[in-house]
Amino acid sequence: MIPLTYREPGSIYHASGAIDHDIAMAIAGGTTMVDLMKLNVLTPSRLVHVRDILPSQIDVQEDRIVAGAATTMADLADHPAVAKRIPVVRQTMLLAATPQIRNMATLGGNIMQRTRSAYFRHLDMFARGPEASGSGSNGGNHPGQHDGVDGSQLAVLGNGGRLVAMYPGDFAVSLMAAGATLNLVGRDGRREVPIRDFYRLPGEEAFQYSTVLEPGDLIESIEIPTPKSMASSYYLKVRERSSYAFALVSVAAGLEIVDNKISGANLGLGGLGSVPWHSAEGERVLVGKPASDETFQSAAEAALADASPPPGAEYKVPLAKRAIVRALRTIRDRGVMSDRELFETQHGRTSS
Amino acid sequence: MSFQPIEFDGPVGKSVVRRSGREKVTGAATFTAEWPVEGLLHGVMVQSTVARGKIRSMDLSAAEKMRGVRLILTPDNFPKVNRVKTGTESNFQTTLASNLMPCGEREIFHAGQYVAAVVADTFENARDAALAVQIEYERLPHQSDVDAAENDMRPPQLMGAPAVITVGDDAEQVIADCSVSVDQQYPTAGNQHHPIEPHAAIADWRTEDAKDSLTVYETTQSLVQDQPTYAKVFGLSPDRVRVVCKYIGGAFGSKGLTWPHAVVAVAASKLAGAPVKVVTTRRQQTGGTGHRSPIRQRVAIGADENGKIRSIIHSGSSSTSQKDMYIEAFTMATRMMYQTDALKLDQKMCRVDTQVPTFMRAPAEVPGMFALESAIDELAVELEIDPIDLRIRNEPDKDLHEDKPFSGRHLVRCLKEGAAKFGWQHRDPKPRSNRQGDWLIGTGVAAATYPVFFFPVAAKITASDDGRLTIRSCTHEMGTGTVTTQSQLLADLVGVPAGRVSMELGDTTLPPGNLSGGSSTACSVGAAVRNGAEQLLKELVKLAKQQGRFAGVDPSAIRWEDGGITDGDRSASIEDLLQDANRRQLSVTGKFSPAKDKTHSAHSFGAHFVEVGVDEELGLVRVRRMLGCFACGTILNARTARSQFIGGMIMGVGHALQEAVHWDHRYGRVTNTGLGEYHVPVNADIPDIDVMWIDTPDFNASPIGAKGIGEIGITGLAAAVANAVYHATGRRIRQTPITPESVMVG
Repeated sequence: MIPLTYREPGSIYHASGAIDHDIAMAIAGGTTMVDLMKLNVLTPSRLVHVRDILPSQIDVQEDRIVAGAATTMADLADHPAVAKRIPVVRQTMLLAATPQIRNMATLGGNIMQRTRSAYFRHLDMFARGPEASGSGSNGGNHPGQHDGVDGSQLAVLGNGGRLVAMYPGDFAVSLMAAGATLNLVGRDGRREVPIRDFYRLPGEEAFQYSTVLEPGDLIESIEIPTPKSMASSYYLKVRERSSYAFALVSVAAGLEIVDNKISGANLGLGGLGSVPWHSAEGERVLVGKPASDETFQSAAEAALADASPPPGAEYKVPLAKRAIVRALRTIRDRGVMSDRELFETQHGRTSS
Repeated sequence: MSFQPIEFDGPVGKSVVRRSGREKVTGAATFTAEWPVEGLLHGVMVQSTVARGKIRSMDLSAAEKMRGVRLILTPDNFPKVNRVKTGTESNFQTTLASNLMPCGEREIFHAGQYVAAVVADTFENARDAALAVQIEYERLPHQSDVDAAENDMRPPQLMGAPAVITVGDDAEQVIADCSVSVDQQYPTAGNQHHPIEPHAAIADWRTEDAKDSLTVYETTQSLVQDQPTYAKVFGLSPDRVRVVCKYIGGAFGSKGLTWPHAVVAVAASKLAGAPVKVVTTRRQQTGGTGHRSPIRQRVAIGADENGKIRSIIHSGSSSTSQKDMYIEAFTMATRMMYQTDALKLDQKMCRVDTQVPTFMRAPAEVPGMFALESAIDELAVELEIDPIDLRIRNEPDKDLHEDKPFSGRHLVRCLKEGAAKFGWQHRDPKPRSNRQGDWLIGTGVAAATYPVFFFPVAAKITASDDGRLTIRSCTHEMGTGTVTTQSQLLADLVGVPAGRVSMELGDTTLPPGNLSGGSSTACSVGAAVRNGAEQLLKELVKLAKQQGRFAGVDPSAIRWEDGGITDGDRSASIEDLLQDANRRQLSVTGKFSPAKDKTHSAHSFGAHFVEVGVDEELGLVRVRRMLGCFACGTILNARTARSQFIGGMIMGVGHALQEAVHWDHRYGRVTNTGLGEYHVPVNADIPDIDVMWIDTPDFNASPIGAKGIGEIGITGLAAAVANAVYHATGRRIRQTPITPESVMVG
């Protein structure tokens, strides 16, 4: 057996002292951690259980909702204030994973979700191909030189023109759209980091995103702003099966429309970026314009302007544009989707 | 030769709960990896990371020193084995899956090939030591892409027929002369079986008084063939080998052969002198237990203006591996589906550096009927004839290839009765005629078919003096309800409630049943049970006569009734007869062997009706309704039959819309090796399914009137989906799976 110690520290401070995110890793719901340890992809020698010491309450404030990092996905989805004031967040949860996983998985872990790419999950396969084996670098330049690479889980946005891994999750996409703030606790105390600054694009030698977390840092809570635009928000998840699948492309969007003019807009994209993607370009095109199909189309073009799809993922660029337009039109024409309507978008039939 | 019809008037056909259901849901059922065996060691394989190459060096030094390690199996210490022909090369004289001996070769022919195995006291210790085995390969060029491989090899035979079959005039020329024709390519992706229960084997090699014996608990559909296979490969007498499999948690054909992990378990047990368990990981389902070959097909059909088909061409290529031969007979159903003047079937294949493909639920018909039934729909569109009507117009009066009458076809009834129930008459044939919001709604139809296979079976039937009956046969409980349905059958034949009959199976110490493949189990075992019931009747009549009963009555006039025998006036129960004879039990061995010369062409048929919603902007396809109508002869149990049909249809949805093995051909390796990335349908994908059947026993095909039902449900389903997608959108998708990328317009 690979020796492994498991600790249940009594406080966040003890946990912080024990965790280095490398050989000593935090575990909460364990839904991804255990999986990746079984595959030998993550090989910590110490696991520090943090679920019981991190907050798990949901605090509703005037302009924001603050959720403890140990809140389960299920609990956040079921909170009435979340459903009313920022439905896109609830929708990312309802369309993610399975009820069983949502009952276990915590928000902090969800934000830290790893890529699903084969080149991460198989230790001896590299996006750059067999010649890269052992070089320590996983990514590679594209396109052209990599016919045969499985591009299905590789990033279309934020890849620096290289073969890098795609961030697979849903929740963080809505947080990027909303402009959430992460409250971190570390060895030197607490600090706030906007989620849009939390993820770092993969560097030259890296295959996957990194974060600003330092050894000892933990996500303690998540502050989700609830501007008017997010009260009419929507998560459109495009996937080839109705449930339990990661997004091929997803759109987290919120619109505030006054007199047919867009006064506030939020746009996040999933299934595309090396990190959960915030489209400031798309938002800029939307704000101040009439809520017309033409405006939505322009926003979609702007959002994907820098797309650089790896081989096999070229279709995701037009798909993402259509999904953006669809999501924005849905908000404009139908308002907030009921759960029933949301499931119909997935099932293609009326749920009985 | 036809069989004497039987009138079923008892438990046969009733909706009876599968007996193993309770054991399974309560965890009481013992699956292969769960047998408690004293002193068990655990084996974990080391797999090749290269697709083609040579082992340059193997460094075991670190692994050998690790805790609990008892043995590392490598080509250096692999026990001497006899090389025998594989199952697919010997027509199941053995069940060996591959000529490559796991941990016995220095040359690599596919990624995932087992090159070494660590045996340790715990699974964890074996796994960790396996990770510490260091192997250096000399990498050689490989080809894992069937589209880049040379595909000009001719299969030596296709299920007993040549690789090229022609009927009538030159099919190409006839099509060229036809006023209406279609001619298209239909590529299908490779698939994995991914049963929930992983493949496993526990091997217990013992030497007592200088005599070797072997017990193997194995996830297998082929117990009777496994026993001589182990005997031949490892040099044992067959009576010293016992193979056991009581429950199977899904197989779909992938447990029909002895995959290398089982050979590893036996070799390791022999060397270690202790029982060894090997359980494949989910990841080892890729490259360790076979797959469905990706197939490239062409179907061309020519017809006259009235929709009479004049010529059909079905050609293409499948793949096999470098060292093994597996042949996918994907044109097989086209031999007999439709009337035509000219027919040409023409199969080729290629060799790629992958593991050998294998049977996967309706191996030939899944790809073959996708292509053929898509092409028929395309022809119907060209002709502006309803696709049901087109099929009916081309209903053959005999099997063209075999030149024999059908044992019982009923395809037209399946199409008509299914259509009526589905509401086909309300369909506007025009594509894009039904839009609901973002969804275009369409309906499609396709025919289903599966051949009738029988294998020789012996089933011992024992009547006891308490009136109970037991069937004993080495066959399998694959989740299909063999115990339940065979008990119903025997109960019906002798006239007792099904609860009075029990069955033992899954052990080579029982009378030889046969492999469970080709949807053959229910009818083959059932045929032996019928024969057994007839013998038992004779024995009981003999007993009765000895006891002075039925004096003066012609023995042949005495029949079964209510669990006893009667001449119409007098009767005697099994209990009375045995108790009076002072006997506890009376046993006979029912036997059945299929006739060599078949008088009929025997197949099951069916019709699928599917309604889909297509969001063509986003490329989404969702199934909204499905109805299947099947003609499979006698239905032994309405409940388990329905489960088989809907299981097949759901798997067909996977084939149509989701299932595809993804490759990185630079490595020659599969990338979607887990269920997170290899998608099969989830509950939310599946609407309510309507299943109906034409309840007509087929005694031309089967002694019990029953034909197989395990595989037909998946055949043609993907074509019905593709045809519905066309009706919804006007867009023809000629590949499986039908991906969002393929459906997106523009």
